[in-house]
Amino acid sequence: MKAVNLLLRALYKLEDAALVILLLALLGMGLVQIVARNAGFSGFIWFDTASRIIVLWLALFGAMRASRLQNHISIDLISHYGTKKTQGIIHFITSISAAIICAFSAWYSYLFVVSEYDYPSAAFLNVPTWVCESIIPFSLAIISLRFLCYSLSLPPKNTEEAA
Amino acid sequence: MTTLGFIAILLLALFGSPLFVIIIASALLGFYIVDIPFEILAVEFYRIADTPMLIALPLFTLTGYLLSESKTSERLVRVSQSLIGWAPGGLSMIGFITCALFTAFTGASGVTIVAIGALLYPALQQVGYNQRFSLGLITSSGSLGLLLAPSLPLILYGIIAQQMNIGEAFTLSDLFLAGLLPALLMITLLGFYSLWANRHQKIESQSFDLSELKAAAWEAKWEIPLPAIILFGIYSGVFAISETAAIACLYVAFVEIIIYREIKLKKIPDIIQQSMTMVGGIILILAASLALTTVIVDAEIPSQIFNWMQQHISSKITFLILLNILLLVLGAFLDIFAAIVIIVPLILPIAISYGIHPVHLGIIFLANMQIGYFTPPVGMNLFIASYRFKKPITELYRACIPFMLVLMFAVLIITYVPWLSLGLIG
Repeated sequence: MKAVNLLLRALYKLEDAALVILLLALLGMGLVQIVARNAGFSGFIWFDTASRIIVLWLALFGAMRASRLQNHISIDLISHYGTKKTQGIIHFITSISAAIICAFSAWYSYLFVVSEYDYPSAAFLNVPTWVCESIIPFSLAIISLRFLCYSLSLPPKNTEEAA
Repeated sequence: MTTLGFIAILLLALFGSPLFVIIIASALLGFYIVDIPFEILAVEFYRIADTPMLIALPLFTLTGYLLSESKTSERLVRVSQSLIGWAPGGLSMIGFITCALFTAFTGASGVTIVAIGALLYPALQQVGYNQRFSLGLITSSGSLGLLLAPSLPLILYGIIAQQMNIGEAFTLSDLFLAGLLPALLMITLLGFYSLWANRHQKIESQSFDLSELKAAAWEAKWEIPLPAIILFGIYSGVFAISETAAIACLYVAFVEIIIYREIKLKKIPDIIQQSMTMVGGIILILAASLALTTVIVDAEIPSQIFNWMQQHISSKITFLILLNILLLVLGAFLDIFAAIVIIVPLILPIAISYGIHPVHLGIIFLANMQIGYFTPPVGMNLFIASYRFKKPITELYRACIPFMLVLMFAVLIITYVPWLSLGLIG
């Protein structure tokens, strides 16, 4: 149990740090490009591709953090009604189904990344495309695990946050 | 099996499953029906990295978060109060303008009501506006700037519409330009309404005080150039939109952290994490909806709807009326980002078939969604205002209805006078 906790805490740290580092990288690359372009250099051409890939990573790390805080946008018309017990059941159904759907998506994304690994191509510089894509199955798998954990716990008290 | 799948997804949506899960499930079901391998989901997700415009989204979001963490709202209200507080109806006009500006930067996420509303609500009553009018003004203005650059829903609409690659091509700058006159129309109409509604009310107006104006402007001298920087960046063509976003973000960070010192450096990681969590939530939905859009287009659903509609609705005008009604209803129930990613791929091809310009559709769409934010019974800003000002929700319903009617009138004009949206972009 201690090892699991340690691993979880490391994952939280990784997510939080990744968001800050990726955002600063995105900002920095944008600014360098402006300066370089206006100084007469053509800029670093690969910056453009790299920035777009950073946005994907930033978004998926953000989505992982959102699932940690149970902070995803939902339509949610009827889950506030009903007794505590029915609310508990609804919470279980939505969480477990989210876990299954994300796990399914993670698995097929993984198969896609493996197929890309077998026929490698470069996204930018020498970075292969499959490395850039690997965040997709990874994040979906983590999100799936989070929902699995939530399905076993009580519904969150503060659902207003989700808006 | 298919029907069962649809029913299950619908139930999950009603039960409050996260929206991205619902959209992924629908896309997977669609893949299954039209026989597309499930691996394509990852290909669709990776299209996020193929969308240059998306680079601006995290940067503008962070800019907005930084502004709402500092005392920008106070300075904004002070400057506009000293600038137009002397005019008849001045304070209500200040409300409309400051809310619109603030919402353009922060998105209509309720921040405007909490930050600006909380300042203006007591001030409005102090000069003689009655409570109901003040509440209605604050609540309905919480989404007023959606049509102004660089609001996130506007960017998101642009991304989705461009990804679909149909109809006349347009740039994000076109979309930003298109929102200007319609937003101005809304503010003007609201201004006239507030003069008319308070014609029997004794409203104090403060006398014009040049020294106060100077002091207020001096205090806000670092933030006043911000809209100009963004407008210049977007419309001059000197910078790309993502570059403009980077400059705005750096500028605001510099001003709020180093000059005003209202945000401590050690709080920055926290602010970045919060804002990127929101960005992650939105882009995840966007990625899922790219997959769903592929299915929708592959199954030719829009053209089937169009064919069906053509038998019943032949005129563009009737189509537009129905569109307005549909969007108003959806706006009241659906989150704006959800509405954009789900509804736009369905109605854009249909609207284009009826001869509507994609930029015009975007403005109509968001103008309707803007009203949805405070449409009873479940508009989100009603709840935020009810919570913030500790008023029963039914009181807010009553307070907002006149403003809603005014804005609906504005939406009608925006819908039937395409020039308002398209005139500036030629």
